[in-house]
Amino acid sequence: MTPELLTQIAALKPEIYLTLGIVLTVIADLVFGVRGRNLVAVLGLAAVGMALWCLADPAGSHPERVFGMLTFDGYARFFRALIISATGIVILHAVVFRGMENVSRNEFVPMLLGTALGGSLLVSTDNLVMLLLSLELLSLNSYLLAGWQRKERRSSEAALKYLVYGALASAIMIFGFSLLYGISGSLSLPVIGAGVSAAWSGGVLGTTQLVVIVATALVLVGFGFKIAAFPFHFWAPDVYEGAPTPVTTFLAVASKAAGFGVLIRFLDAVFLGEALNAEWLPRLGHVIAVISAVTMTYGNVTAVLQRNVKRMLAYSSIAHAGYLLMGVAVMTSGLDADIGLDATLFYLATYYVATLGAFGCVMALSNRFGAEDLDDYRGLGWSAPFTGAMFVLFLVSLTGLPPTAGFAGKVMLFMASLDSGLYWLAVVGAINAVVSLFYYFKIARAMYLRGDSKFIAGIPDRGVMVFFARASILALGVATVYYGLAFDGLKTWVESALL
Amino acid sequence: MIPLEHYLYLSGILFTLGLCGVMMRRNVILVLMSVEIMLNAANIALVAFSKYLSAGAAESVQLDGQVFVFFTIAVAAAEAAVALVIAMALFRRLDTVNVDDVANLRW
Amino acid sequence: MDILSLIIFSPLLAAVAILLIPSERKDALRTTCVAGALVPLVLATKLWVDFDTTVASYQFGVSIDWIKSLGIQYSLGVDGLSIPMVWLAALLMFIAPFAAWKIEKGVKGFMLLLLLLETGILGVFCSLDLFLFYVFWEVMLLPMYFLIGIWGGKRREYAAIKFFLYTLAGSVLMLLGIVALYLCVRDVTPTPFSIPVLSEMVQSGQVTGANLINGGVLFGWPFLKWVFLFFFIAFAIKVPIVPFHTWLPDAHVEAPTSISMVLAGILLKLGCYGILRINLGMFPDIAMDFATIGAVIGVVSILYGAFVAMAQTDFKRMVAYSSVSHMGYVLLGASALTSAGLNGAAMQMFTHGTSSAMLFLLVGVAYDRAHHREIEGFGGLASVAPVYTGITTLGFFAALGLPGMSGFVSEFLVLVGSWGVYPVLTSLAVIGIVITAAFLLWTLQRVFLGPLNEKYKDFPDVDKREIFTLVPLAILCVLLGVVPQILLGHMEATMEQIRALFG
Repeated sequence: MTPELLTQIAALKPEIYLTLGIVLTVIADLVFGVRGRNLVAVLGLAAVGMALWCLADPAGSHPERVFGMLTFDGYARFFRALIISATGIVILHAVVFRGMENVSRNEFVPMLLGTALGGSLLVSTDNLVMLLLSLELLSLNSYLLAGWQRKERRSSEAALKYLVYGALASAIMIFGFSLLYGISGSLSLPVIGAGVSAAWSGGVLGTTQLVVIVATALVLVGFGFKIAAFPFHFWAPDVYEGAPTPVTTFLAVASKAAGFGVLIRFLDAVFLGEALNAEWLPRLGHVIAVISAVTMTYGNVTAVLQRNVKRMLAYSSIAHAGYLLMGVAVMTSGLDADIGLDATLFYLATYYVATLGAFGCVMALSNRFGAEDLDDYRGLGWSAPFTGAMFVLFLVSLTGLPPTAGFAGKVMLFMASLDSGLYWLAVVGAINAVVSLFYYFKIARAMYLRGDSKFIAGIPDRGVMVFFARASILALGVATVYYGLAFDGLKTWVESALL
Repeated sequence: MIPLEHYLYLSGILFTLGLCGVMMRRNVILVLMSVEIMLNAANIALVAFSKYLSAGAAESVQLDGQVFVFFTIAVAAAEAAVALVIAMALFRRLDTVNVDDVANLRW
Repeated sequence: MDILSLIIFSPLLAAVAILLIPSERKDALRTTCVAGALVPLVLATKLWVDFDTTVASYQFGVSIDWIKSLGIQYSLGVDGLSIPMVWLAALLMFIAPFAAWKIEKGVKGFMLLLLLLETGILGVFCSLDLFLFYVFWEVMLLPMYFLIGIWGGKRREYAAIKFFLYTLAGSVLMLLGIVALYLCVRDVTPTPFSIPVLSEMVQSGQVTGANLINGGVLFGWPFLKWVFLFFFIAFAIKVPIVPFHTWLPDAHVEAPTSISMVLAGILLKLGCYGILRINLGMFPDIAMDFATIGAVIGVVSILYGAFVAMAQTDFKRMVAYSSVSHMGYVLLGASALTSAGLNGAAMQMFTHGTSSAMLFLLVGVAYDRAHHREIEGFGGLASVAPVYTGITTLGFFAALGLPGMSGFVSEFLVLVGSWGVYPVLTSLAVIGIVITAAFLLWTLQRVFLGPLNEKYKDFPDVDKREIFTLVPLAILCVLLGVVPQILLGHMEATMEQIRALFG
């Protein structure tokens, strides 16, 4: 192997560790079987830890372009860090999750690592082949994970539904890819971008332009599905409710982050790379703005009606996709794209912290009290003071109130949309924050205002892994408050991740 | 030589048929088959583009599209396998082999 | 650490201490809360003494860079407008744990939230940076939600979420306003959130929104008017001003006594404070355009609140609506834009803070003993509970503005100040005073005079703890009625500075 090849491979270290983790966990499972439960988890966590460690290498120590298909820039680093660390936290919670006691958790870990691998390649690539493969790696694993509790009808149904819609979305997206290829003669996003802007240079609406519009729409369907944006959200509530909670957590955080990662890179490379007709780009921006407004409103309003906490959080995650699209809309509004991108990434990071934390609390309460519906949550805040208080904190962050990270995220988004003249979108977003308060605090209400304040022991869970799972919730809680009060550091990191 | 448009028409028709199939069928297996048709529509378009894009310049043959097709086929196969696994799990749980009984999910 | 930060964060420290005390040791929890609330009171008193009454601008200022990328500062300071409020807040928050002494359910949580609430309230009054202001403003909501929601009456869930939703609806608009202002001035000043800097820039015409897309014009309205309106709505909901008042009766009635007291005594003042500080102090030109509308809304609030209060059968609800009425005077006085009007408005904030807090405490006393609040359900209490009757009479007199009591001075100043500007509206406001007097005296008669209701022949008089909570407020009511100069002396310079903005 040439040294150059070696340095290129070195840039892939996080992915290599993940792959190694997959292999080792599978072997450990084969050798030790059920007894190796904690070993498998530890191996998985070690792989995640090593991958994150490699990600922390200073920028510039590796080549950015690898094998002509992957770009390991600050942007990819940002998303890979989110996806891989979320995977670690999910593994930690999955090991102690009682809802999965009757199914094997050993294969679960390599599957999750595979999903993370797919996600981390997905956000790094600018080639359609790689994009397709990594997206499918992510998706196929997710389908299986969603159906992990195969003895539960809900779980299998969720998996099937997820798969059918997912397959449909990829088929539509691939058709869009074929059209983009036809226009530009390349599968590389920057070249496609050049082809698209060449097609637009005439400024008149001819066949080629129509094809571009159709192709864009088809591709956006695929990405819209992944991020659960309206009207491609319908799988999300059923899947989120039916899937085992650790998987739901992964879908709501890592999978969504990966979806946004690829969506933004796609939009950036194809539409912002070369100066597109100044008349047309804002139109795309407006379409996304409308989708954003509808998505957040739909998600929030429907969430109000839910009784199942996981389902409610599913709709809330749809609503947050709407918020994130707010930033994407700003990005494509024809002004300085960095404003919108900055806000989106920042918001994504705050959403990541709060959602992981909230689902962590859902799992902890489910472990101890078997709580699923809002009614099961009655008075639990008194019996589980730590989890209850943390849950409220994460809910506050998801609503977007100070002093939490979610507030800083909302400020960034509102700032970006006011800055780019999308005044109406900022107002819609603000009103939505009020609506979301209503249902988020239904959970707080159930935990503290309802029921009597008596202590219920539940089934206390102990063990080293439980301790670490708790600690992860505490760490997320601290991060929520810290990034709400001192977000300079987060902002700097986000700015290093701009495309 | 058959013009590019003809391939694209075929591809478009197949895609639409597949999409209609997905929309109208309530049977999981048929829905998945319709999705396969849509994928193949994309494949036809890709191969056709590949062929016609490289027609003019002999020295730079455009193979990207054809390569992409191979991956699409592989992905479709993997998707089908996963779909069968999940369908099996669901149907075994319900003690039925009749897909229509369980295919009426709350879409 | 500077004195203002100490005032704001000492309750937070006490809250952390409470976290460490086991929840069975209820008296230790209560005592810690009292101690945590005593520190700000002592420091605020020191602040009051050290305050230089001849200086109109901010004193005891502190400014530290906080979030550098946005130019946000941790910036505190008090002037003549905020220092009475800081002291009042410290006093009422010190009284609150005593008023809540008998609460047995979740004492730890209650005291913890009470201290968090105090930090939020004091922070709002001291903040000189809009971002910081907003953070404190919102930090108050969460404790309030739980304090009403967990320890409240029958409809507490409804009242708590209604309070939360209303306030948040207003404050998200305020947030948009703050962000928009930031976007306007971020290239011109290194501290684009600073209230003094922004005021200066707005008044010198440097903030027009011209550098925003469309010049910030939306639906034909110029940028600054929108910002003004957003701020105003946020504050109007908090005050509350008719028609945004509907959360208030619910929240007040359902909240436990100590929280009703804090709500009426301080939280309502936050809205008034915002109007005076931001709407008037920052946007004087636009405030002048809106002054007449403000005066009309103020008078509507006065009359509406008074009439509805008269119709109430529930003691606490009546007091709650009388607050709506009294807050109308603040708006009327502020809208007059005259020296007397502004001073009256600022003083009304303080006097109502003492008298309404007292009334809620008194209602709480009756409720604790009788377990209901029907005005008609009592009768003749004067013969069994003379001390209670006496203090209640004093509180009612203070509230209805009897000469010699604090309410009289502030309302008189408001009316004098607005008479020259809005004679008709002022005359209507006077009718409000008459109605207020009527229903308060009528209530006094129904509850305390007449034949004794046999059910209450063993009605215990106020105990020492209750007297301890009531006496400081009663003293203030009388003292400020006789020597209002104590308060006005501290406010005058600042209020004159605000008035000078209006030519």
